[in-house]
Amino acid sequence: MLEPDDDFDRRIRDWLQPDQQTVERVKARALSTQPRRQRIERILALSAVAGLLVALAGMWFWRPASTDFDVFTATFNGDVLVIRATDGTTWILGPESGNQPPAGTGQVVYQGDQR
Amino acid sequence: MDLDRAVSDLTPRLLRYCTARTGSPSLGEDVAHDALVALIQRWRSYGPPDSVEAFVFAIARRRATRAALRQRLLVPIENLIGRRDGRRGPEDLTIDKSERDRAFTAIALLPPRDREALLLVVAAGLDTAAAATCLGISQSAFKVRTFRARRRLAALLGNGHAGT
Repeated sequence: MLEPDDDFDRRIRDWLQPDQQTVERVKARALSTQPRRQRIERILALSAVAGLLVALAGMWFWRPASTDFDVFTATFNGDVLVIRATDGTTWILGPESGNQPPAGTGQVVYQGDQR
Repeated sequence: MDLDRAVSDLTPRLLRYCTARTGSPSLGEDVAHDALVALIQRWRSYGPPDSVEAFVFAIARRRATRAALRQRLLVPIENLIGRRDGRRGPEDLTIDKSERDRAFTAIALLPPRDREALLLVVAAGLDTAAAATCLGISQSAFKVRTFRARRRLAALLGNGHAGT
C-alpha cells in the first residue's frame, strides 16, 4: 500500500529534470568558488597592503619641513660681525680699517725654546 | 568517493529538488549552487561529512525555505513599485502550459510536510532512511507522508493515480 510508485516518481523526476548544460554550469561554478578561508585571507592581505600604502602616502604628504640646511650663528662684536657655520667655517665681516696698527702697541708672543 | 564525483552525482538531484521547492528554475539553481558551495567548502576544510547527502540536502532545505519566503515577501513589493507588471517573462512563457508548469503548480499545492517528504525521495533521490533522518521523523511516519503526498499530487494532476 505504501510502496513507492516507480512510474509516477519517474514522471515527476522527468518534469523536474534540468538540462545537461545547466547541470554543468552549476557544477563548474560551485567547484570554481574559492574557499571562504582563502577569500578572507586574501581580503586581509589586500587590506594590509592598502593600509600600508595609505600610511606611506600620509607620511609623505605630512612629513615635517626639511631641516637639512646649515645653521649659522651670527654675533656682533662691536663693529665686527662673526658668522659661524655648524661645520666650523667662520666669516668675519667688519669695516676695513685701512690703517696699520700703531707702532709700539702690539705684543709679540713667542712660544717655544727660550734659548 | 572524491569531491568531483560527489558533486557530479549531487548536482542534478539538487537542481531537481531546489527547483521543485522554490517553484522557479532560476531560484532553484541559485539555491542548489549555494548548497554545493557549502559542501565543497566543508569538504576542502574538514574532509567529507559523515553523510554527504544528509549534509547537502539539509542545507538545501533551509536555503530553499528562506529563498521561497524571500520571494513571497518581495513579489508584492515588486508589484507595488511597478517592477512586475503582471506580464510573464521569457522563462515563464517557454514552460507555459507545459507539463512542467502543471507539475510545479500541483507540487506547490501540496501540504508543506507532505511536499517536503515527497521531494526528498522523488526529486532528491534519497532513500527512505536518509530522508526520514533529514526530516527528523521515523521511517514509518515518513512513508505515510510520502504516500499521502503521492495520492494528492496524482489527484491534482488528474491522472487517476491512486497511490497504490
